[in-house]
Amino acid sequence: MEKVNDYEAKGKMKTNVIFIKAPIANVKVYYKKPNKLRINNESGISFIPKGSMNINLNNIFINTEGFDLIDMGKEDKTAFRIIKLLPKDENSDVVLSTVYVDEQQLLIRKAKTTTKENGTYELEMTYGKYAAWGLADKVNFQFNTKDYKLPKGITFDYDDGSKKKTPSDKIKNKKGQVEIVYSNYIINRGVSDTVFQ
Amino acid sequence: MNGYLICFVILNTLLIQMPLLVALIAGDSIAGEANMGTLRLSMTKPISRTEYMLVKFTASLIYTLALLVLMALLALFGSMLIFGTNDMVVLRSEGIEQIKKFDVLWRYFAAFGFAAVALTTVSALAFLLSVFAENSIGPIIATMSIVIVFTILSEMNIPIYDETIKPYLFTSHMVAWKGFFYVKANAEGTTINGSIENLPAVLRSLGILIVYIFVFLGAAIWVFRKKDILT
Repeated sequence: MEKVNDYEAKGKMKTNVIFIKAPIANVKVYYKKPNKLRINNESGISFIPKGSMNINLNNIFINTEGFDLIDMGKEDKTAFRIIKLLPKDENSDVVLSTVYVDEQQLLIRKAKTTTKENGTYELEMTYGKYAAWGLADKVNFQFNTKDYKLPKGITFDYDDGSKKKTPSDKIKNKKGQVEIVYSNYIINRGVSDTVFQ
Repeated sequence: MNGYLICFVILNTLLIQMPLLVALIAGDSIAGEANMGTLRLSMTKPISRTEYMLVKFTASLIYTLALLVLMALLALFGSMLIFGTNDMVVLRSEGIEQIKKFDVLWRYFAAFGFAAVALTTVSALAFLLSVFAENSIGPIIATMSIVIVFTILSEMNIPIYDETIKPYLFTSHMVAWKGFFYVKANAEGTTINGSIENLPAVLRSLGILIVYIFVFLGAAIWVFRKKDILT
């Protein structure tokens, strides 16, 4: 990832949140060092959860005062090295980050991050032809969803008589996920700052 | 914000504002004639009372449809022209639905078609009440009172009442045009283009409204045939 100064990638984004029905979106993702990231929907609207800009791992490591590292050993199933990162900066939004490192390929496969403002989210990366650059072919971003409820008096819903409504306590503590499958990356060809405005 | 969303918001006026405009004409159709003293004169013509009522109702129906076409032109195409088009987001009390841009327009045509039937129901109600009055204010106010009270009742969430009274109120079914904007999704929450979440329910609502139209119109004709016309 150190070799990557910027990239532009095309991909398909799938949102899976219990109270959102959304189509698969064609997106363009722009990244520029140190932590600029933008996701553009090419032909429509996309719902992106608050805090999902951390979908790029670099954002976790952007911390001027650095981290304390705790080596937790290897995961039994995968043999990935588990490292816990505790930010030294007390004002950092990240409280704790656990990364799962594939030591053979020197890639981060998974990261669980707990933040002050945006709850806990989990990133899972699947690598393919851009593994040498440290760029994933598929990124799965999981996050906690909160209860969603709008008064019927506002929405004037049509009640079709079916009993399919999900009780709000079921919605609580459910996990939502956003998955981006990248089709191609254009790396280190320069990305204009205007893209991020 | 785009033209599709704007039109969706405007279509919500179908509940209160549009019925008022329809009731103004339908409520006046018989009562207005009675008020002006032309009803008795009309009955001297060699047409049956049933024919007279059907012609009068057809006139109200044409007005209703013309009003709706005007609304469609202004609200839908006007909004599309001014605000452009994009994916449409529909807010429901239990969630958010997103429909792709190319999958929206046919839903509006279906919704306006449904709205025509919904407004015709109001028109038929005002027409029925018009038979009983000799002043058009009465049927107009009475129609609007019924629509408003029934709408309030339709929006109340009382479990026992949801299954007993609500399904029989025509106002509960007038919002069924929204059913065209409720899409199906697969297990992963991805919307299925071109789908309708519960088409049988929308069609059932359509059927109920049509039954209401026939009941109101039938009752209006039946009462008018027996009516002692004094003005």
